[in-house]
Amino acid sequence: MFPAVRPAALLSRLALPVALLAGVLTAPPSAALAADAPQVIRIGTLPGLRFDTASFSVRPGAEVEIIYTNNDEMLHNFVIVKPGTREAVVQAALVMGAGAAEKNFVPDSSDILWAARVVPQGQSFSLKFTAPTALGDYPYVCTFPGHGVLMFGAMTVTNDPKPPVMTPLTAPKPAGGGAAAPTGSPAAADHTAHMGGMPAEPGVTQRAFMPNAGPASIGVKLPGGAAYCWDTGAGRFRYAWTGGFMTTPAAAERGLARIQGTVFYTEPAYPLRLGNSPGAEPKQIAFKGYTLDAQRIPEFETVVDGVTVRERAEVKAGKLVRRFRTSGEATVWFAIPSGAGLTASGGTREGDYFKFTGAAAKEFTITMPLPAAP
Amino acid sequence: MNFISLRRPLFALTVLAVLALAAVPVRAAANNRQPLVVSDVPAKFAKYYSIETIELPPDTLSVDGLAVMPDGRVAVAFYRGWICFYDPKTKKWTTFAEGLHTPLGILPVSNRELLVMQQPELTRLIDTDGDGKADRFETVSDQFGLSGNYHQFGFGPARDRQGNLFFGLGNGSNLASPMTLTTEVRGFMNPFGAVSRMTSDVAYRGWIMQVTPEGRTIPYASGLREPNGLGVDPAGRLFSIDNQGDWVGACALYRIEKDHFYGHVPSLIWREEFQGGQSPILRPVEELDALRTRAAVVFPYGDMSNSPTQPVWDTTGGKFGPFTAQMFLGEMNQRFLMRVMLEDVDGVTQGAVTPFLGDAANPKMRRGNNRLAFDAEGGLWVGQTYHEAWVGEDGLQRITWKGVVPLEISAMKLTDDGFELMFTRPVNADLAGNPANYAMKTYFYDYHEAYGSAKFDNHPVGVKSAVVSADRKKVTLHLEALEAWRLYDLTLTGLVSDDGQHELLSPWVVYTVNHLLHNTPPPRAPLPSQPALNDRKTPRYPTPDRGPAGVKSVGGPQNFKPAPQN
Repeated sequence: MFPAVRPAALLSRLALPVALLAGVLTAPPSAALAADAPQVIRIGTLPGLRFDTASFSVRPGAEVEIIYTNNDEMLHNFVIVKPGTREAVVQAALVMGAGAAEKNFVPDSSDILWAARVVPQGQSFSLKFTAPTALGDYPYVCTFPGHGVLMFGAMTVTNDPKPPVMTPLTAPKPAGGGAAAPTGSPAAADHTAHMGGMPAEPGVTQRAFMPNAGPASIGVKLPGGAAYCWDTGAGRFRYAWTGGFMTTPAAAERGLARIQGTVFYTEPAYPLRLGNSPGAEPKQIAFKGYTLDAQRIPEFETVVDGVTVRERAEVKAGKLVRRFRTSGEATVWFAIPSGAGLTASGGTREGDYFKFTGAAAKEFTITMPLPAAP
Repeated sequence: MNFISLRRPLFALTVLAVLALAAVPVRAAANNRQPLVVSDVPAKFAKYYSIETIELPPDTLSVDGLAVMPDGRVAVAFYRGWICFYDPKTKKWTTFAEGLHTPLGILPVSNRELLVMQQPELTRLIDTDGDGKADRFETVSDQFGLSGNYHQFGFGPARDRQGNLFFGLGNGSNLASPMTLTTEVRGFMNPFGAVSRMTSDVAYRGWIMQVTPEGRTIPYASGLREPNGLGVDPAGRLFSIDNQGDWVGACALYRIEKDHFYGHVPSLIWREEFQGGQSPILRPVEELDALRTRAAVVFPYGDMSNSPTQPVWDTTGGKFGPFTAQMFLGEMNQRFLMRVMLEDVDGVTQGAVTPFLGDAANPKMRRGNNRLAFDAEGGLWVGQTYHEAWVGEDGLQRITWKGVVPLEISAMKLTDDGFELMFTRPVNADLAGNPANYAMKTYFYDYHEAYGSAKFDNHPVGVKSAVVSADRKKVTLHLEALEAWRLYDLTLTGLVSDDGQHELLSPWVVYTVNHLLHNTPPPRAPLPSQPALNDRKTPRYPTPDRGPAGVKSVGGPQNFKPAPQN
């Protein structure tokens, strides 16, 4: 009823300069029904092997123009096939063997109704045809090897006077060898039992691109309810929050981690000064790594102008307690941000600084109150 | 529970499961699943190799790093930032580390120490107290730039015999929006590195880096676009693959040598002679072409490889079949691995690639083959990745040789007028001696800024004669013509062993002829300019509403010194 475009003929038409972007391939015989006004459908691609449109509807025999834009970095083609034949066509494309690229990964299949060449990123083409008269769902799919398992949608030919014209896509879960999560939660019981008297929620340390910090940052969730951002590029504590931890985006989203909760403290700059006066900021801060203790709470290590500085934070009695340990003999100063309500152990206050000398310089704490729970 | 959410279904269960892994070995039986499944190997290959499929831990995703520990456990880096061990003896998984940022490579140091290349740094993970979990995360190198661009992946590490470590730094993508996520970047920044499709706006993106045994980080070689796979061969030579794209006509394998440039232009901005307020992509393509070192092996795009991955070498002493010391590579888009046969010709390393364990007619292997590692018993572990956005599947498999020697091409060597093909078994001389059974074609890929290259001047080459050696293990092909700087793409038809019991498993092999044995002419010039997809020549950094002054550079390599010219 709808004569298939033979791929050989089709591809000879497709062998046009890239700039021309072949798209108009064929039109089936004159439609049995009077055509509606030409229906223009715009379809793009999304990262993660997706079309941005899961389905669209056309009337039987309608004149259709699909304006297709590849927004993705990967190469994609666009193939419309007969109902129920998508998987067979995708499989046929996989076994094309040598020369598949020259054929734009369009297999020689009578199930293919219309096809257009592989389109690189940022380019579009227009595909004009007369819709089939037989009602049904006509899949469209990218047959580039590996893409067709996920990357498809449906053109619905329907007489429904008010069909849904465009349906945004929800990405399907990929097929693959991953095992499903176990049912129930015996794992939790195992976990608690194994840890003995340890708190049920150990610390969590997660590196991520985080907001309002350098790109090499680490989110830390502490037992007791607070979380903070430690920036390994700047070698310092950035901000702390309560109310949750953070989410990291899926790869296809490519975004920053999202803080869950409310930031209650932001450290304005690198806080420590080493030496007899709190004048200049350190010249060099090198991040050396971190160590996790039995509660999985990290202690970060830096070398600051030749002095090893370790910093660890924990929640104690409703307060965030930051412990600093240093290797040198020098006096250590901590710049006090105004209004944060910080207190210090073992030091004295001099102007806008806490000052630590002797044994106190080797180990001291800075404590700040957590906001009251709502 | 308020743990990190990864925006995937069954998240809460995932967290419980992960914590359980962290605490105690998960019993496979608890999941009511068989841990080992013998997969459906195509009959053609099943005579020689078997593939076991290993069930991944619950809700893990994408094998992005893989290594065999000295004690035989298999270390796996999962996309979400976990390092887990699989013990083949007990078939149990345990978790070694969590919270890493896109770890894409593992190199064991000892049974309690691993090197891991993650997005922000090369890290040494140590289990200091012997409880099976890493508790110390030492920064080995973070002396390179990072801007929050999702595409700035880190690859490797590989280690040479002198103890140097090498890792690769992928370019950022100018198509990411926003290109720079964070208002601070790490490391010295040059906005003129960000005008092209792929970007090197912070230090050393697109470079292979060296970490000396003393711990110094040195920019080693430039011009890589996305070097997702580094390795050092048994002779101590460093190799890296690269992925097709701008300035990369087709995916390829490079022999990496100090101070060489491999063709991807944005990275040149970190070299001495490309300093200044201009992008290196504005230099004439002929000038750039003259700087570059050609690929040792080019992989025909679409047919052979769209995304090559990690090279490993068969060091099993024959336990994996007749391929001792040869290179195997993963491929993400195809349902096969690749095998590479190299030789030194006229002072350069070049050679051939052939599919391994699969072909278009037997597409039974998974896609997504991303990380490979041989174990002491001669098994080849293969980790597959999907990475939430790529083509592959997720999984872990182990390939073992059954002891029957397959009929394969064991070496391909350039001659004055063609090639010698060495076979793993004597071949049927009537079939192997018939030139009609060899279909040879030749083409080349162009060098230009636009994404990828077509095959140019693709035409058949006549095989004048095919001469079979007395022991029937060598066939010499004499061609009508042989030219430098081209690919020679050979399909063999109907070849079988002389006892008739074995067909040629991989009848397709492609040799990259850069040099001839003698009198190699200079390379052809790039073709007249292809239109680039992206003609931005001035920084738009980092977003239209934020000039360069709106981004601070903090940490990382700040006392930037351009790398000297080689």
